[in-house]
Amino acid sequence: MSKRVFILATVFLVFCYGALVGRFQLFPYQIFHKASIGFDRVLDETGIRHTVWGYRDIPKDLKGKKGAILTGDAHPGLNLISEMGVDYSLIVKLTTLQGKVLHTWNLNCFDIWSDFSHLDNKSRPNQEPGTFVHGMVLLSDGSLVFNHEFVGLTRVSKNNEILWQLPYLTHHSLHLHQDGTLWTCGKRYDNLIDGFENDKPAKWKYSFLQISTEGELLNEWIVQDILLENGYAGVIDMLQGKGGHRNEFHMNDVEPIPDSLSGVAFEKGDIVISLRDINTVFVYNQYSKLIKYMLTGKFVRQHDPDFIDTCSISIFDNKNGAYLPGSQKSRILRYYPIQDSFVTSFEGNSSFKFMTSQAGKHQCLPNGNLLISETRRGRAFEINNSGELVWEYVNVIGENEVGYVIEVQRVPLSMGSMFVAVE
Amino acid sequence: MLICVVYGALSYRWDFFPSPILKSAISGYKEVSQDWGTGLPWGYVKLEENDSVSLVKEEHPLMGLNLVTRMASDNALVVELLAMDSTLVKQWSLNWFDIWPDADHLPEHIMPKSEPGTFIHGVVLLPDGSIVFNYEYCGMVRIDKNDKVVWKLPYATHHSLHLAENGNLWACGLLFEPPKLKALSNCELVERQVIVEVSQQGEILNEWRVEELIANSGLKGYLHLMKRECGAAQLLHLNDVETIASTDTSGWFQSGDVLFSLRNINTVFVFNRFTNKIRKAISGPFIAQHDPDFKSGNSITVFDNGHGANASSIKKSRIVQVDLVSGKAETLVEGSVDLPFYSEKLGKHQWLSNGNLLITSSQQGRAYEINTKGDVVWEYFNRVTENSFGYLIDVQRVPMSHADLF
Repeated sequence: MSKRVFILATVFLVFCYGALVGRFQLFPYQIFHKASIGFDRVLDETGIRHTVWGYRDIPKDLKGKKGAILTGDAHPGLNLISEMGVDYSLIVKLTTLQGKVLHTWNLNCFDIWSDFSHLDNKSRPNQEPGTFVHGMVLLSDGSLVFNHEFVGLTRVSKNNEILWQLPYLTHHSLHLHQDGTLWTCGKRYDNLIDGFENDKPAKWKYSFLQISTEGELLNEWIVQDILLENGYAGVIDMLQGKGGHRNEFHMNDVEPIPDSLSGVAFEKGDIVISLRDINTVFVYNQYSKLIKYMLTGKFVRQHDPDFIDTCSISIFDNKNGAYLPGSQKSRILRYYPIQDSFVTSFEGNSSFKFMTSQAGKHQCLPNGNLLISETRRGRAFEINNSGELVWEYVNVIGENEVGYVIEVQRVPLSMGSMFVAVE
Repeated sequence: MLICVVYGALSYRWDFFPSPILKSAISGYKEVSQDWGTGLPWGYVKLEENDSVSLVKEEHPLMGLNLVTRMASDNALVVELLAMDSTLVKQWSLNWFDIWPDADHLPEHIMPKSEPGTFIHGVVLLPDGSIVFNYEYCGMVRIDKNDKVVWKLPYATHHSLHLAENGNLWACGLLFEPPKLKALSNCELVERQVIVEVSQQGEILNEWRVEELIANSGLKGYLHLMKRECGAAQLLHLNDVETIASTDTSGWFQSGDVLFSLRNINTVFVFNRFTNKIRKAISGPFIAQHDPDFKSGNSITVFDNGHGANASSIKKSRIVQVDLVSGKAETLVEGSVDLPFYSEKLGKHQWLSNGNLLITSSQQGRAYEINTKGDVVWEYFNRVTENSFGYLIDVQRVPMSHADLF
C-alpha cells in the first residue's frame, strides 16, 4: 500500500514539476525547445511541412502561375520586390513588368551584420533566415536602404557594398520623404542592465526615426510618450483584456506627409502611424506635438496607411481574425478624416481571393491603379480603376512552394538605366 | 519520469487533464493568500494610518437623502436610505441565500456558494419606496418598502441599473449560450454581454447584444481586442448602460442615444436604440473606466479608475469630461495628496442639481460631495470595524421627499 502511495505521490510531484517547466521555462525546457526547433527544421528541409516563417504551399487558386504576368495596362515602371527566396535567402530585386531581373541584392543578415551585440539575447538571429527584409527604399544612385526586421538599417550600393549600418532595432517600414530623409519604425531599449549589457532588458518602447541618407539619426520620437502627452493612456493599455502588456501594440508603419498633400484635412508636419495589435491608426503633427486624428476599431490588424491626397488616407485592412465568421478577406480602405467616413477601394471576393493575415503593403499609382502586396500568399498584383487585374507576380520557388512577397514597389523606369539586365 | 515531466509541461500549455484542476487550485490559493495578505476578504479594505475617520462633514451640500449600497460587517449586503447626517431612514438587508434560495438559472461557475456569494451592483429607488437592484451576475429583484419581494428576474444582470425617463429600467446582462464559432467549440457555454431594457414589472422589453452592435457598426476591430475564450464577454467587461434624457439632446446627442462602457478595452460607446448603430466610440482618455454619464448636449463624464497607469507618485482616479464634438478631454476632479481618491475597480459618480458632484470611491469605502469650487462639502465613510472599511458600491442622492414613505 505504502509503495503505491509513494509511486503515486512521486508521479504527481514529477507532473507538477513538468507543469512548472511549462509555466516558468525551467530546466529542461530549453533542451526540449531546441529539439522542437530542430525537428521543425527537418520537416521544413525535407519538404514535409513548412515551419519557417516566409514559405508555404502554393495556394490552390495560384497554381500554374509563375513569375510576372502582364495582363493589361499596368502603370509603367519597374518593380522593386522584397521576397523570401530559395534556401532561406532574403532577396530584393529590381525587375521589369515582364519579370526580367535588372538587379538582385542577396541580403543574408549573417553576412551583413558582423555581430548582433546591439540586440538582447533573445532577439538575436541564430539561424537562417534569422529575420527578413521589411521596409526598403531605392535611392537615385542605385543604392538600397533597407531594414532587417528588428535587427537594423543598412545601405548597400548597387554593387552590393555596404555603405553604412545603423544598429537600431528598425522594423516594418521605410519611407523616403520629399526632403531626402528616411523615416522608419524603431524599438528602443529603455533600461539595459549594468553589467549585463544586451541581456534581456526589462523595458522597451516603440519609436519612430528620421534618418539621413548617410545613416545619421536626426530625430527620434517615442510612441508611448506621444500617446501619454496627448491624453491617450487608455490606448496604450488597451490590451489589458487580452492579457497583453502596455507596450505590445505592434507598431508597423510611419510616414510623414508630403507638402503637396497638406490643405484640407492635413497640414505640414503631419505623420501617420499604425499600431496593429490595437487596430489603431493615428495622425500626429510633429510641430504642434498634437494627435489630430485617432482611429480605432474600424479595421483589424491593419498595415501601411498612406497619405493619398489632401483629404484621405488609404489603409491595408488585413481583417485577420475578425471576430465574426465570413470575414476572411483583406481589403483596402480609403478614410476621410473630416467626414469620419470610409470607402472600400478594393476587397477580396469569391472569384478573386485576396487575403493576407500578416504583413501586406499597397501603393496607389499615379494613374489610379492599385499595387497590392499579398504577402502570405506569395503574390503581388495590380488592379485598375475598374477592379480588373492588370499585372500579377507569384513568387514560386519550388515545385509546390511560394516564398512570401514582403513588398513590391513600382519605381520609375529611369531607375533601370543604372543596371544591366540579367538574362 | 521523463514522460511525466513532458506531459506536465504540455498539459500546462494545452490545458490537458489535470492541469485545469491545478490551475483552479492555484487561482483559489491566490484568492485565499490575498485575503491572508490583508487579513480581509473581498469587499473590505484595511484602514490605513493616514485614512481620515471623520464620519460626516456638512458644509452646504445639496440636501436630500443618500441611497447607499455597501458591504456591511460579516459579509452582509445592505442597501440603506440615510439622512445627510447618516441617520438611518430605512435599511434593506439583502442576503442572496434568503431572497433567492431556489435559484436554478445560473451556470455552476456563477452560482453563489457561500456568503456573500455576490454583491449588490446597481440599485434604483422607485417612487413607491420599493427598490430594484442587481445581484451581480445573478439576477434582478424588486423588493417593496416592507421588504417583501415583488418580483425576481432570473437573468444574469450586473454592474448598473438605470431608470429611464419613460420609467423603464436599463441594466447590463450576461447570456450563456452554446458556442457557435469553431474556435470556441471546446466551451460548454459562451458568455455574451447584452444590454437589457426591463419594465418595472420585471418583464424584459428589449435586448441588444453588445458584440453584434459593435460588429454591425463597422467596428470589429474592437472585438478583436479580446481573447476568443468561453468567457470572452467578461473580458470585454460591460459595466454601465444609461439612456439619454430629453433635456440632453440639444447638441450632438439625439433622442434614443444610449451610453455603454466596456472596461477592459478602455472604451465608451454611444449607440442609438432606433438605428441600432454605434454613433461614437471613445477610446484613450481613460483606463478601466466606470459609470459614464451624459453631462450636457455634447459631452459625457466618466469615472476614470486609472489603474495607476500614469507615472505618478500616487495612484489616483479622476472624473474626466470628454467633449464628443472636439474630442477634447478635461480632468474635473482627480486624486491628490489632499484628496486621496483612488478606486482601482468599481466606482460611481452623480451630478447633482446644484452643480455639485457626488463621487463614490468604492474600494476606499468612501463617498464625497464636491462643490463647483472643488471643496469637499460632504463625505461618508463605510467603516465596518475598528480597522476596516467595507466597499461602498454606490451612493446616490435622492430627493428628501422619499423620507415620507418610511
